[in-house]
Amino acid sequence: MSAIWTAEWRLALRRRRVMVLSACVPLFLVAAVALGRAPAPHAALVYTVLFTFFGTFGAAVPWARDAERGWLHRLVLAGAGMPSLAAQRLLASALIDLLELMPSLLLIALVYRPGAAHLLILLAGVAGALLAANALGVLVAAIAGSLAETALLASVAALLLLHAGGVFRTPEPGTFADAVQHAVPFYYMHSAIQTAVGYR
Amino acid sequence: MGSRTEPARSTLAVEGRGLGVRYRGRVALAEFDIEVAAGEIVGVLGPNGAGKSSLLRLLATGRRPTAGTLRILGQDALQLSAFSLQLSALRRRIGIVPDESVHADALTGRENATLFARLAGLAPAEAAARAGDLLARVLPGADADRPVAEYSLGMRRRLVIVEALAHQPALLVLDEPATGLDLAGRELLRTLVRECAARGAAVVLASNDVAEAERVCGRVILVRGGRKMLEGAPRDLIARLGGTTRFELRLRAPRAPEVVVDGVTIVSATAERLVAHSHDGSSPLPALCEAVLRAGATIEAVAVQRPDLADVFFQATGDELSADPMATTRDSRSA
Repeated sequence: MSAIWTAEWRLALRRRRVMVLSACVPLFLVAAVALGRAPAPHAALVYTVLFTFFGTFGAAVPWARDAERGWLHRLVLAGAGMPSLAAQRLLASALIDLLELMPSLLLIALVYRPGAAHLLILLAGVAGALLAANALGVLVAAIAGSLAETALLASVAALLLLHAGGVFRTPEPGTFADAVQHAVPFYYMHSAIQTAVGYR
Repeated sequence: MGSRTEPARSTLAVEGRGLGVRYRGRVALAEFDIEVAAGEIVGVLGPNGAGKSSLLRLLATGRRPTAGTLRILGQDALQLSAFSLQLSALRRRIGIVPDESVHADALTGRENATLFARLAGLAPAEAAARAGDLLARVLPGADADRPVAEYSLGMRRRLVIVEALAHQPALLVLDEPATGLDLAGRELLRTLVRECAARGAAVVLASNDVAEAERVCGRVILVRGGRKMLEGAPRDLIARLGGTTRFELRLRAPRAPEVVVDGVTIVSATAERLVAHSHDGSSPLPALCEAVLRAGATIEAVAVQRPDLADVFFQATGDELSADPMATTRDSRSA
């Protein structure tokens, strides 16, 4: 494993409080919706938005913070190529996010009881969407000039992509919007969640 | 330590010609030539905003010059694109002590040091061993295995030095490396820098601390307003002043006293401070004090020192090297 990847995991495991909070906060939100018996389409919408924001902010904020304090620049000047640095951080961050969301996914599995196949599809859909959300977060953080700007841009970009992914409305089949939604990774996560919660 | 002033071209680790840097139209560096040979320690001295950090950023490949040519460790730094593998490979041969000590605070000192050694291309076991060896000297005891979040400023500074040196760079770039270090830390820094140069690395050190530069550098470059003012071995530059003894008088006077004493050069005179150099071996201090008192000033303190690079800088530019000239780190004794 490469140095940055290893360091990212070490950092995540060392920050246990952050890790526990990152696992508990989405779990409480999912629990409120799932145990509150919210209608399936609404529940699916909440989960999709929650997981997307979780991944986007999970990457954008640390990236912007590390850029602001000069840590990323130090790593690059030490010989870590920027593409390699971004890729390693991205993969590690997406996997850590997935681990932190496991309790929430487990609760969804327990409450809605999808079949094993649907559960696997849900897992793959969430993993793919987290990777995309993390990439979006890094992209946004690289463009933004400050932490506050990062948070604002990350929210706007994530919401726009969720909209393009057909999360907030279903495009007419055969239209341009229909074609676009299939190119958005969040669409597949949303579909998997809808299936898992019994909406499809 | 060598005091060569004209490095052999074949061994040049850094070769910059006509270097320029502009920040939003403001000139930070202009028409700057620099050569640093392998094994040489070069100090860059100048007041705040003189262009030292801009120069070091170029040498560390942290930014590209807006003018000029720059070869670092045999590579044309301007030909390397930002994301190229060649640039990363070049950076792995450079050790950098930046002016700020930024780390992964949740990791231990050892983990941080090993991370930087790994980024420089060392295999995991070798990186851990090299970092461990240096840490044993620089952060002895259990400190290396504590999270950096618990470190003091000085300990963080020591760790940055380990991170810059563990991979045995061919070019070492240090920006105000002694900031935050205690006396033992400064001594250790000097030793490590000398060892690094003895291994054949070129060292460029930016500092405000003239005593530090005189002790460790074979050659110094005095910088002001982004331009090179003077360059040479510290001893040679100081010898240019012609005086062997420096007198510094702290005064209380309505205005700068006008003083003329045989065998004495007045370097600077204000209502608060007078600096003078003697030209011969005799002691002109009594005559100097008498002349100052005659000029209507009250003498509060007198220090007798040998002239240093700050005096060289003052005479060359008319400016003080440090923001607070009375708060220097020079060894002095009250007369």
